[in-house]
Amino acid sequence: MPNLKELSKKKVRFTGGHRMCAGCGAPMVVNWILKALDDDERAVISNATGCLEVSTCLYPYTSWKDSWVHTAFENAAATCSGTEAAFKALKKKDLLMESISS
Amino acid sequence: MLYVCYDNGAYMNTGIQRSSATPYGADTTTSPAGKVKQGKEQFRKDLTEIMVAHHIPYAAQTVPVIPGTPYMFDLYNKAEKAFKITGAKFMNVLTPCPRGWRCDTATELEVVKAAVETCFWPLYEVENGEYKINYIPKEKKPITEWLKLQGRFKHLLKPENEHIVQKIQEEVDRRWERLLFLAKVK
Ligand code: SF4
Repeated sequence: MPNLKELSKKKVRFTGGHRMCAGCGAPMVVNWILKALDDDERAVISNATGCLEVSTCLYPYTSWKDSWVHTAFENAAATCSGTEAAFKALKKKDLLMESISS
Repeated sequence: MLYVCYDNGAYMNTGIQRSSATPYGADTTTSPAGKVKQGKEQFRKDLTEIMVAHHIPYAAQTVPVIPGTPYMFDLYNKAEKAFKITGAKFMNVLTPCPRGWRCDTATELEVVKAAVETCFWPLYEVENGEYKINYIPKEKKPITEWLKLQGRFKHLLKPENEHIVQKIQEEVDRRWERLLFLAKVK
């Protein structure tokens, strides 16, 4: 069973100040999922259009501390797999500035 | 890649239009309950099972963290497991939208709990084709326990709509029995 105390010390990757409705369940789901990453890991998040997407990136603000891509309704996964392919290609050619985990 | 779907059961952002994820009987702006119709007339499309059918290494269904339940860390545990698996992974999280569900924000997690306890939303995972149910309620609650907490189902509780509730109950039972069979519990 995870230790709540330990988890509360984890890096915050999704911050407050967004415009989701009070009581919306989506931000807490995001927070808990991102907690499952190790602190030294970096994520690329592709977000399909919806409340979570439009309400967390009102220009020029963002709630996301990781790389975050705004995508249409249907292609969030395609964007993510494209990013992964690009990452692998750059890694193979040794063009990555620093090591980033996949 | 881990694909996470936060299923709130409608196109909430554009004003609560019904979607394939909308449960049977729900009142939405494009499946309104009124004199003629009693909300959505199709059962919810089972996205988790659709993903399982893709034979990906990991697909799971879960709920937000609800303190005091035996499944409090189900969401966290599944995310942690999924991140460690290579390949395409999927998680479906039943996520409250107080606006669309027309429920109280202070007690919305009780609604989600009711979804688990009635087996409307079973907690399970499928790893390399192996089904595992993560929580089996000691006593399965009637579906009205989930319906009665939400304004979008209010019309279903009228005596004349009892047959609709019964139809929903039968479908929930059928899907739950199927899951027990797939997980080799029965
Ligand atoms: S899903 Fe959208 S409409 Fe529903 S509570 Fe969250 S932010 Fe509000």
